[in-house]
Amino acid sequence: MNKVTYGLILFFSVVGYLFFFPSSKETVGSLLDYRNPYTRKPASISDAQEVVETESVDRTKLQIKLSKLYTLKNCYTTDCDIASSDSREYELTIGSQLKQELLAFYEEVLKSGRVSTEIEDVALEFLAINDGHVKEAALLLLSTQPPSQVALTGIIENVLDYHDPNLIGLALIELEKYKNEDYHIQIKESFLKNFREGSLLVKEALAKGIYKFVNQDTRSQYESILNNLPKNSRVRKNLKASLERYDYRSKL
Amino acid sequence: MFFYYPSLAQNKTPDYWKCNNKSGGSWNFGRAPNVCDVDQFIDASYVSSVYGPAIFDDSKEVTVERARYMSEVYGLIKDTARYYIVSRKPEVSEEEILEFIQAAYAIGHQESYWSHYRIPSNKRFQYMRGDYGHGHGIFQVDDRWHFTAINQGRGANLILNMVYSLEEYYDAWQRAPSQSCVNGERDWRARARSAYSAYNGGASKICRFTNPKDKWARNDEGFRLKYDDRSWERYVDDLDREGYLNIECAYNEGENCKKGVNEALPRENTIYRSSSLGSCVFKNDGQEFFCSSANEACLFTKLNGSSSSYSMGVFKDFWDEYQVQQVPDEGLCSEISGIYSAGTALEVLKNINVRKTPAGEKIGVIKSGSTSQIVGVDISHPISQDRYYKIVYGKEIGYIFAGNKSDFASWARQTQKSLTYKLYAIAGDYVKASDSLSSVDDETIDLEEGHVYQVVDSSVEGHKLFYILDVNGVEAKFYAGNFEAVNISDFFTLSEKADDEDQAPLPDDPKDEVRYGRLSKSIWWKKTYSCPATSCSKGPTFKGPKLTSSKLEISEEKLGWYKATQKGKTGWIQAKYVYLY
Repeated sequence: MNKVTYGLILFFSVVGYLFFFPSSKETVGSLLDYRNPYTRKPASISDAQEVVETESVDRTKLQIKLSKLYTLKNCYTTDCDIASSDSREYELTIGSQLKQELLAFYEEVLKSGRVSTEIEDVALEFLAINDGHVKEAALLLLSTQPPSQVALTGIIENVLDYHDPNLIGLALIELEKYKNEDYHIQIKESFLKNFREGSLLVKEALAKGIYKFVNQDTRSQYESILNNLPKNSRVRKNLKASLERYDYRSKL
Repeated sequence: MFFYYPSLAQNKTPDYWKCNNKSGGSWNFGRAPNVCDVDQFIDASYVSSVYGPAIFDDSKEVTVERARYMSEVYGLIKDTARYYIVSRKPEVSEEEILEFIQAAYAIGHQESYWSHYRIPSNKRFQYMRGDYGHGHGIFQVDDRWHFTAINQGRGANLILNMVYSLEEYYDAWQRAPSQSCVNGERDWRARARSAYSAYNGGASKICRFTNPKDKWARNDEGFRLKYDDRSWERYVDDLDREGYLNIECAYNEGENCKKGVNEALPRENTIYRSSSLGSCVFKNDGQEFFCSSANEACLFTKLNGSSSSYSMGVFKDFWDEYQVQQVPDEGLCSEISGIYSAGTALEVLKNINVRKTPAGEKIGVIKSGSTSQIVGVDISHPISQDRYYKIVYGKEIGYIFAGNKSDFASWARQTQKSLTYKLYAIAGDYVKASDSLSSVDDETIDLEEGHVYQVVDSSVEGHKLFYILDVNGVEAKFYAGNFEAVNISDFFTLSEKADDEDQAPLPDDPKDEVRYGRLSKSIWWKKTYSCPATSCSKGPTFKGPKLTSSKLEISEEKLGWYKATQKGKTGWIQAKYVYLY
């Protein structure tokens, strides 16, 4: 890795830290939302027709892009000329390169406003890779597309059910665009499952960011979870604050 | 040896980074080289009080000390692995728990020879740093891949080190049975080895252990040898032994986490911990428990006065035959002398370390004479009444130690001085609403996002902050966040002046002035109109701050509407949807 990459990586870590220990909104710029530890915001298009016109995908460009991505992905299963001076370097390097490619793809799609199931398929395929860097970029790419059942399932299974707390802020922003009742039920069920048996670090982050998803129908279920959480646990403190926040906001 | 944690990317930390007073060791259980000071990452006194039995003391006869140390650490690994897998899989079988525990023992052996805390000849509290100082502690959390976690103390704190590492291992443990190299869920040995391959080499290397030609096959072989040989058992006095710590308490960085006394009947002068009730104190006269989840040291002092001793214990399920009374948070700490409550302005009287948690990551030093706001209080010991204040420090919130019941007056005092560090407003200040909010006692009184209001009064209720604000001449109370969740700035930020003082008078011809703004944060996008009325034909769509960082350039204002341009597209939009910079 070159110095620029190291610098970027350190930057991401620091920004990720800011998500869990936000200090003041005044310290974050327009790109660095306190809920979003990443340099890029998700596009979060919830209704393609409202925001962009669907364009036909440039087949050639897309094929070149996909070819790069799949060539790199194949390195997970075949030997590529990538350094391995310690036991994890090889896989880390593939992940970093995939992330770069996916982010470039994301920027391009964001700029063109393209909406296509092919883009969604690519995003979901890479979201399933067990590497938080790759998941982060794939989630951003997915955010350029309208909500769909398959995308929601992908986010639940590959982000919320994973064990990387640094992705939760981004995932919650993305989930805000899933507005119909069916989606709400699935999201709620996923949250409840996570509180019961999710990653210990993820449920802390989830409890902190969940307040936007609490409503009159779900509050009692979260309350029930709260009552069964160990007293003095960080998850309980965070969830309690989220419910309290809902209670005061619901007076609107 | 190390594993990689997703999205906490590589950091180019130098060899032996923050490795003060490095001491050597030997390649045997409990003493693997090297060790460095814990106080670079967590509080040494916390290590001493919570992890005392799990510290290898080099001044003792090494064989005897190793046997003692191994027995203590054996119990802690066992309890932590059990706590972890039961948390993730509540219906897990006892057979799987035991297999998972064995895998955890083997990881600790492969990574560090079960080495973590040690007091070498320099008499300092230190912990193991392998792999040129990059590997931290018993499961060797690597500071190049886990820089943030290491800085949060997740490498130096023994229980956090294991839990953090098991998150990664468990992921592979769950995937392993579906791999070609593992013959189903109960192929325990292959499952443990497979999960270790992925833990050590990455998710795609989950069957690496079956390939003896792999460049890193030696790591898999090392793990196999340890897993099969179980050589730690030769040192442990009782293989049924449990650890001395309450893992849930230690994982949440609590104080006094020792399991303590184990008796059939409750007794006085003991704090009993319960997951569902919090901390409880028993009183013989009424044969009842008094419980609280706020602060057990305050609870103990309130009920027992100036007792000179206490013990810890676990609340037994069958004690539910006794009466249990929940003690209200308000006034719980009233018997602790010289304690200042949240909302008080505090002046520190000496240079004091500021930490993320009472015993955790050091974030700086607050200088003697500095003043700050207290946002929380923690009493860590019911007899000495050691006190920690959660205070505002720069743009962060952290804990400072502020003495015990004998010497607190020399550490900090209440003050009326102007504040060096300030997070929330007091009477007379101005705050800017970060969101549109309604008053908690009159729903018809709303605040406008981005507008500035004068604070008539502020109050702290438990962990909650409230402001009474002057809203167009009416005083109304507003919820302003929760100190525990550190979300105050989601609701209000401190502001210098009120809106009307902030804004210059409108020019005679508003067309001549260009102003900038954005859509309100809750709006994703908004259609514009070709003229300032909803009956006009629709214009282009403006995107909100969730979708773009592009500003709105406002060139004209008419009848509560703005004529604005975003990315070259111009339209009319109602002023109520726009936040002006």
